[in-house]
Amino acid sequence: MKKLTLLMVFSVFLGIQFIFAQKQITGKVTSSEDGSALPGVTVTAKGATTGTFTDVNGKYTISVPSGAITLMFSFIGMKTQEVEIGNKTVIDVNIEPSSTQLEGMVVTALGIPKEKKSLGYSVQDLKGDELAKAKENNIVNSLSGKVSGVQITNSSGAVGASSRIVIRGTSSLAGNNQPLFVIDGVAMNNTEFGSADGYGGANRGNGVADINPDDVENISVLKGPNAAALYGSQAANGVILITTKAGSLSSKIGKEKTGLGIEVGNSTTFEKPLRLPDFQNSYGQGAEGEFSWVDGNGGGIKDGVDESWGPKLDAGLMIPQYNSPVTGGVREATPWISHPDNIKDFLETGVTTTTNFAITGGTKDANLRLSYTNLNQKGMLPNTNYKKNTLALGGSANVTDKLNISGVANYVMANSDNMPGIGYDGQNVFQQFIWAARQVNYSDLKDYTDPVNGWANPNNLAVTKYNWNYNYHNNPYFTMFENTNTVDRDRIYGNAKVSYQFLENLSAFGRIGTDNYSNLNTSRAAWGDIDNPYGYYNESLTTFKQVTSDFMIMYNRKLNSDFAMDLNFGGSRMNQNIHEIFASADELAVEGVYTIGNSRVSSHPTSSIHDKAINSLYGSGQLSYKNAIYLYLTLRNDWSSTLPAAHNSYYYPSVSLSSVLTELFKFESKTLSFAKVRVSWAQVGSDTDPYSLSPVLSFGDGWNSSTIFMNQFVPNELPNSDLRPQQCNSIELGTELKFFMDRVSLDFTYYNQKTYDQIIRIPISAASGYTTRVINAGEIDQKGIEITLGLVPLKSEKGFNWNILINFAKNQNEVVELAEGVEQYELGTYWDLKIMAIPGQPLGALYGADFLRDPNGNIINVNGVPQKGDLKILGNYQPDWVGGINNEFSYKGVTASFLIDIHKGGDIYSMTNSWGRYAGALEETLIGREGGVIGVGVKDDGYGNYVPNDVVVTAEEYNHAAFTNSIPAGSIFDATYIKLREVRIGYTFKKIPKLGFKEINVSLIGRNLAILYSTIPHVDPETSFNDGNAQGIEFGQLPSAISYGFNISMKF
Amino acid sequence: MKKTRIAGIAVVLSAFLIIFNSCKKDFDTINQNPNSAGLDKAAPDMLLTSAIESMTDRVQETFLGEEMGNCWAQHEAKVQYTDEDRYIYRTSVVNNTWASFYAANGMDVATLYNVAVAKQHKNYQGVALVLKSYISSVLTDLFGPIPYTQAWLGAENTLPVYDSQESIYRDMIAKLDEANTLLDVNGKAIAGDILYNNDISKWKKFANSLRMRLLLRMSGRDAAFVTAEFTKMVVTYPATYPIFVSNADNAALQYLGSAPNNHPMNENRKTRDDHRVSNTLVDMMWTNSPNLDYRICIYADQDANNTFEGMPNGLTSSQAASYNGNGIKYTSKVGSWFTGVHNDGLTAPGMLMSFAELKFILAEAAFKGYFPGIAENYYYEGIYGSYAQFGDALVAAVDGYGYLPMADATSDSLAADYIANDIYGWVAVNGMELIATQRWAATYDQGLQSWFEWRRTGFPVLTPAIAGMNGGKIPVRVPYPTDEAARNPSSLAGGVSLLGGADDLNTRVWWDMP
Repeated sequence: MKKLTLLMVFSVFLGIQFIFAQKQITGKVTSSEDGSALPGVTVTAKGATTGTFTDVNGKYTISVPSGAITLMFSFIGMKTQEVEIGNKTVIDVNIEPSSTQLEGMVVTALGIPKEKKSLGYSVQDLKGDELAKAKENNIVNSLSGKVSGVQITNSSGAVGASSRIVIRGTSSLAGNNQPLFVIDGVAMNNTEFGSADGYGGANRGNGVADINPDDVENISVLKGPNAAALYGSQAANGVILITTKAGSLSSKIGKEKTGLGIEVGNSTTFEKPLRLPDFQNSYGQGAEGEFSWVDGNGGGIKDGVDESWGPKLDAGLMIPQYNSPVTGGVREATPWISHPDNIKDFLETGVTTTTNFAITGGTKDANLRLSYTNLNQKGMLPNTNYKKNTLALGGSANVTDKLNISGVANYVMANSDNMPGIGYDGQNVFQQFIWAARQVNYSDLKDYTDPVNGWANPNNLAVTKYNWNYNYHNNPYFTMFENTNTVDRDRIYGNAKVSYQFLENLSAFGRIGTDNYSNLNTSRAAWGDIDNPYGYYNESLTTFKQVTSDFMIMYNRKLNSDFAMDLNFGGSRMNQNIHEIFASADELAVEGVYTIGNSRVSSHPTSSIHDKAINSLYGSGQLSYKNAIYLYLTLRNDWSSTLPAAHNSYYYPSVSLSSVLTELFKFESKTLSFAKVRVSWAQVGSDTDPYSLSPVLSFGDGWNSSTIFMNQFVPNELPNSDLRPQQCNSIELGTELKFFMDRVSLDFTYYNQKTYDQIIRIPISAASGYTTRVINAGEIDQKGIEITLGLVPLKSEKGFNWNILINFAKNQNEVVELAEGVEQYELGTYWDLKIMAIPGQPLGALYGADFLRDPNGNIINVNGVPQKGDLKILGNYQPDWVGGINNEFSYKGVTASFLIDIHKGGDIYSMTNSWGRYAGALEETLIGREGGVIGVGVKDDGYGNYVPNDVVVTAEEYNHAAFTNSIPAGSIFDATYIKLREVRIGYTFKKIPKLGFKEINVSLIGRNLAILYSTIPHVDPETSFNDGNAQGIEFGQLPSAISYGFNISMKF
Repeated sequence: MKKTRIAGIAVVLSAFLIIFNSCKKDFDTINQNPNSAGLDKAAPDMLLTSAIESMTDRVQETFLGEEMGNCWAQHEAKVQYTDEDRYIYRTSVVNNTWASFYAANGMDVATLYNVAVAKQHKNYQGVALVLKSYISSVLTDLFGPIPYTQAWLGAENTLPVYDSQESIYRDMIAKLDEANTLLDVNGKAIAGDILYNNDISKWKKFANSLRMRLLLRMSGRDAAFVTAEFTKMVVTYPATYPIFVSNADNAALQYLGSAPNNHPMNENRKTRDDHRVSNTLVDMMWTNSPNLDYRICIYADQDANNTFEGMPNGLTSSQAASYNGNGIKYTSKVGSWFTGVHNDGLTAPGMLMSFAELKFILAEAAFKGYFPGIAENYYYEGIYGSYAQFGDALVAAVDGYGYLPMADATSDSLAADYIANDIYGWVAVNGMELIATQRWAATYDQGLQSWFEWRRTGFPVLTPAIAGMNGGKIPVRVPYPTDEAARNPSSLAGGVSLLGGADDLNTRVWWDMP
């Protein structure tokens, strides 16, 4: 019975095996790092068909043909070592970790480790040590500038904020351009917790921010469909494979010394704003040079105005103000003076501390790792914080010498008492700082409950809290302390795996993995909020459950002296269930009690369930010739529950071919030490969201909270029962070259990718009864190049090393076509600016009104002010290219490095610039305050001729006309930047037995230290609200943070 | 050894089985939407509630009804953010208006009609036709030619062509006739009717009153047809064509006291204070009125000087802020009867069509000879009707300000006192101007209809916005939504050619005779 089963399994793969062993060699393989035995090292005779692995003690026995000259030892993460056999029968070797990224093994799709030189597509690795040394709270940010073709956008310096990552640009109109994250072989959800955009909300972070950087062993970036085809549906955007330290234990059984290993670390950093707008401090609040405070709501002279076109500051003027004393019912005049640091003083120094503790233990056959990390973050904005506790337990055991059981469980508790409001919304304090009455001393408003100065809104019972203005704004401290947004999440993710080694070259595993979380967001506003006099409270609870079961059978063998093959076959089932409950009290009946029951208006909780399942079967095969030419084929078939029965089965093939030319032609030269070329082709497809097929009716708010008058309405989206999977084809060519004894290494990739038949919600004429329709349409082409250049300018025998790693990626994105009859597809609208997909343009055209211009392009002024002109494409958010330069110096125990991150081109629409000028808050609005402004451009001379404009208007009139939201053209800027992203200097003390340390590393670290170059005034050009496609917008940006501090890590 | 090998095989096999045991056969169940009702569960009463609320909300919506309607008709003016008052409309508002009337309430009504036909429920059919005509008339009166015969067809036609306003008007007139026939007080009952509390007789009156509004609006184009129809409805078969007989018949959604079921104005005033009563209205009713038009006491609140002071239309924000010393303080806000919560806990009704308006329609039709009748009588009944619309609330408001002319005053006695004024007494030679002006005064808070009627009649004579941005003209149309240009461009081009003029604020629609 057993034999029969085995036979069935083998019959698929078996070839004929020739054995002509003539000589036996034995030996032991150890690590040069700590002398520990290395199990699982591949030992082969160069040019021979046979090979073996070292056992748990690092020992091996191999039979080699009599003619064999060289023995090769290879292992993941280690340099491949070649030893001449000669007459020896015992060969012990000491192998070193690989020093550059172009060497050794990499983790590829489905976690299959492969020799990097065999790959026909681009994969880039990042070691966990890199991440641990200069910690980013959001693991996504660690990739910034370090991996070519990866574009990271930090949202802001707010606590716990999300970061957007795209690899090779944006190919999907529908918005999902984020890569798939796979942790220890199991997909992890990267959806943002809660929604935020330029119109408000709180950015509560993205899913993979729950990953603890201290637990990460390795990150492998599969950049495109070619590398990721085995992942099917989501491969189009690339895949980021993360192996945790616990998840990699099974490959280390016996390798690490038995016994205890303890790591303890602490990192403390301080955060300050990287850039604040340059405000003017010469004129205060008001309009037309006038201001006098009575009620802050229009009752005095221009005292409802929140702009700074008022009287001159610091000129000895005495004016009644919001904080002037009232004597006998009359508000006294007090000195009208500037407060240049009013916004800086409002901000606090952020502090982030991360403390981690990990304990690893092992025996010959089993090991365990337990780690705990505590992250505590206090934001730059008052009363904001973020806390995360991560507990990870992983283990692996060889139950027998063939059966291995391993598992990892991660438990994450993340919560925040308040995450700041973002976007153009009253809950974002920077919205009011941009409008700003420049003379206001915000620190003075701390006590917003001040009963003396408190002011009652006559229209309402609720009282607007003490503030400098009662027309538009909340007291900013009130906003931060009373109108809070919380998040509270518990998450468990991990997997359990059983592997069995049938034969030396045949193994299989079965695995079950899960990602499971429950996330509760709440948002509240207190009574007296300017936009919500009775406040509000809402809760949003999301339960996310994803279970993936998979198996794989792996077989490899040498066919003859030249050919070897490697086969994998597997399958998986993914079940995803999302359950969301939202309930709100839109006005509170009793002040200060935050619960849904405390609602003075009817409250209507809603709930929704989203279920989805995908079944998959996949296989891959690699044929290699003389370890110099590799042909790799993959095929995957998915069945998705979200597509109609007729179209729900779809497959993706990929083929790649690579050749190590130096190996093939036995070319040896000091100038060119390694040369490889590669080419690949892949096709991938993807499904859609659940329930996109048949029409339904939705439930509305109801009338009078009575069930008799429940509402039922036709939703705006027209479903489509005829959907097909979205398709993507991609070709990739590349080469890897090393020169001068590996002192120069170059990795060059060209790709051309076509994404078509996209599943998009295309806007349709509302006259059809719907505003959007789900269809297959649209094509986006992307082609680009990626270059990774490694340089070793200095490598001295005394131990001084200088390494440079340069990453460069240029992606050319083009929207080729949209649906029939559709000329523009809207990705987002921010007032009169639209972010569009327009055929012939890169995705993300910024579209809106230009200034009115004469035939020569001069701005036409009417009565001295610019006018709104034609709608046109004003810019595009896609960058021309992105890159990074990392320099690393090391001398004995000292290492120092700095990373420069470059983002060239792309445009951004800046609301801070627009309203800051409109409101007279920014420095440049001082131009023409006295004497007026003559706008650049021309005017009509009354006879239809354009002559230079000579009409003088006030600065207030001019800025109001030129920087209104209806003419976005005036506020579009080049988003180019060069940033000093990371600097660190560290010293490692090795082996101090007296103190019991194996290693202590102390580093000074700085992140996001400086904007070295940028042409946009006032704001950080790197800005985003969420991970969607509506980018290129700065809308009341919270300042990004400079972060600096120290990091200590100790190994016992 | 044997055991472990079995274990190994078992693991792989069981994983395989777990995965493929539950293969694609369960996909249909997984992809069944548990969050919404399928079309087979369409509930006509729930669709009706939704349609009435959504439609009335849109008609009364701040940016559309109040700022493009009330401000352009000069019932109101703006004191902050004055763009709309200066004829700078927001493209997003136009897009939303189109999307709401078509895809929100319009589609609910279309679905209601289809369900009603399938269930052979004639009363729901009739109600759906009345609502469809109301929605279509507002759309065509705003834009001119619009998709109509090919509208609301969903996947069948996502690029609907535009129909001429004339053909739409003729079809609406026919559909309202059909609705009048379908609606039967002895037929199957309806439910979910938050407008008339399921009273079919009132729906019949609404159908016919609305029909008269539309007939009069197209009268400049086809007087003969309009004459025939009015004669049929008023003279020949009045029993077949019941119309509003009192304010109890008004098509008005009684808004509740709190969000989301309150009057949009009430919701807006919770956080904004941007609107004032126009000085056009205050001048007519207060400043220049030899005999007080008492409705000012309910239309407007007194300002900080304890008087009624109007805000001129179309000032810039800073001009408005400085107006009369301090525009925010020293101009009248819209009456708290419209913006606040009443003693009964309700907010103002969202008026779709009033008894008073119907009286002025009849007055004008009689005046123009569309049927034999005495215009003067209808005219006075209109004024009385308008006063009665506010009834005791009006008396209380007038009393509150201390302007009550007589003890035990009623809305009728106040109306009588007002009519005694020479200026607005009936003079046949000025009939058209008097009727149009009084209709304008009676349709306060019904900005869109007031503006439509002003476009048609030219009365009252209005002064364009002071800092207006439309070449010194008051808009007579709303340009097509930019969404249509992107989503349905070739049909839109057809619409523009049917319009017969530029797609701007100044091209007059078909019924709007120069």
